[in-house]
Amino acid sequence: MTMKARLVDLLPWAAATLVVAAIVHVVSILLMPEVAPRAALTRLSEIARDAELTPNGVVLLPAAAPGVEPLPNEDPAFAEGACLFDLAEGLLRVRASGDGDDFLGLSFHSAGGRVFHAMTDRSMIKGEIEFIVGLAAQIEELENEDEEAPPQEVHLTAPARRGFVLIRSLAKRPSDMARARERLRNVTCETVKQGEG
Amino acid sequence: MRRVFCAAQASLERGKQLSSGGGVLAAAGRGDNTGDRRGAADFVQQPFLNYLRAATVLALGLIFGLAATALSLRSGAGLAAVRAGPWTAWPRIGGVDIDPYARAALARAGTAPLGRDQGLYFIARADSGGAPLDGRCEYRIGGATPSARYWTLTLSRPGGGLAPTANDRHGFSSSELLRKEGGAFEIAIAREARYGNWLSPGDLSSFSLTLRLYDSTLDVDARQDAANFPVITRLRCA
Repeated sequence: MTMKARLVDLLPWAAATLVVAAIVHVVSILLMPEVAPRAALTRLSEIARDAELTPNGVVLLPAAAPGVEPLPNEDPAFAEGACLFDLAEGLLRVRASGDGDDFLGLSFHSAGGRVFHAMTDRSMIKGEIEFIVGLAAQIEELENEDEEAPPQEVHLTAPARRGFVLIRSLAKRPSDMARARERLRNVTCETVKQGEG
Repeated sequence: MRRVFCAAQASLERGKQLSSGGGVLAAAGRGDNTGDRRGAADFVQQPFLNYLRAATVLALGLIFGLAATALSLRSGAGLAAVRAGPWTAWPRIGGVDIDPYARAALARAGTAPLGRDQGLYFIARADSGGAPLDGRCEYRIGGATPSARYWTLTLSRPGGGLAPTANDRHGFSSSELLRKEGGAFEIAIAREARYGNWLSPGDLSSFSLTLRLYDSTLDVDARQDAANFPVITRLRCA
């Protein structure tokens, strides 16, 4: 048997190997957000057990330092807080206010790692903003029951039941850090049972 | 008793032969290995051989597929990168149109990206001349920054983590920088203290710089002009 004939004989097997490799690759990439052991939501759930919880329902993340970063790749110039939500318990209402000068950013993340909404204090109306986060069915129900929502109330449809809101408050100088952290205390996160809110 | 032993040994040998490489497998599959009971051997061998091949295909496919995943996750935050000089950004990671590769990379690292409507961050792992950022070298960062309400420039490990530094400072924000007349700025990166805006790479042998733009009006769909971004100049190396 010649070398060439042997190679030709192995060709379908090599092709099959490639096909299997491609399927494994695609599936593992798509599954990664579900199976990754240290995804952002998992990290935040762990932090929430020990970190300070404000009376308004925001978990204050400990300050980042070399070796101890609550979330990787965050800007060390920021004070940060998070609200973890599970929409099975009801809608999430988030209220924030800004003074128009200090940067305050709110981003809404789903468990799968998608940012489904993000804003900064610039898009607040008269320094106020209110979000109602719910699943598609919950938001639909909400919009059917009250026609007159206040103008600063924004309805957000979450792509997944679980997720978190990350609140970032900029300290323009290191000496502003305490003030930036204080601003996180003005953010309110609460669960609203449908029908009551 | 002895016969049974011999038979077992023979089949063991055959197994060795089978598992010792594709070439031998192919040869065995064709049934052209010398043996006096060729037909019977083929009859037993062929399905067994194919099972073995299928198992090899599955095992190799699994290894190659996972290797490809590991490699693609290591190489960065997904597709659709925006580049300007030494700076690279992935604007789509902060929106709903994030690609699966970026989503996998972020989940694996545990990162919560900055929302697209909040800002954008650029990472530099090399200077403007293209040489990798080296902790033993001294650098000067200056020039323009894209328009933004605030920006910060941070020095970190190549992977993004903060590193211990001599002065406990990891970066500067646009509002705290010491500026020259006219608003131009200069940041010095060196292990030893420098006048003005100084960042230390500490003991890091290599590092990366992150430029974060907040409330930026930068059009990420347009081609970026490196002249709008800070220039990283290498001065000297120890």
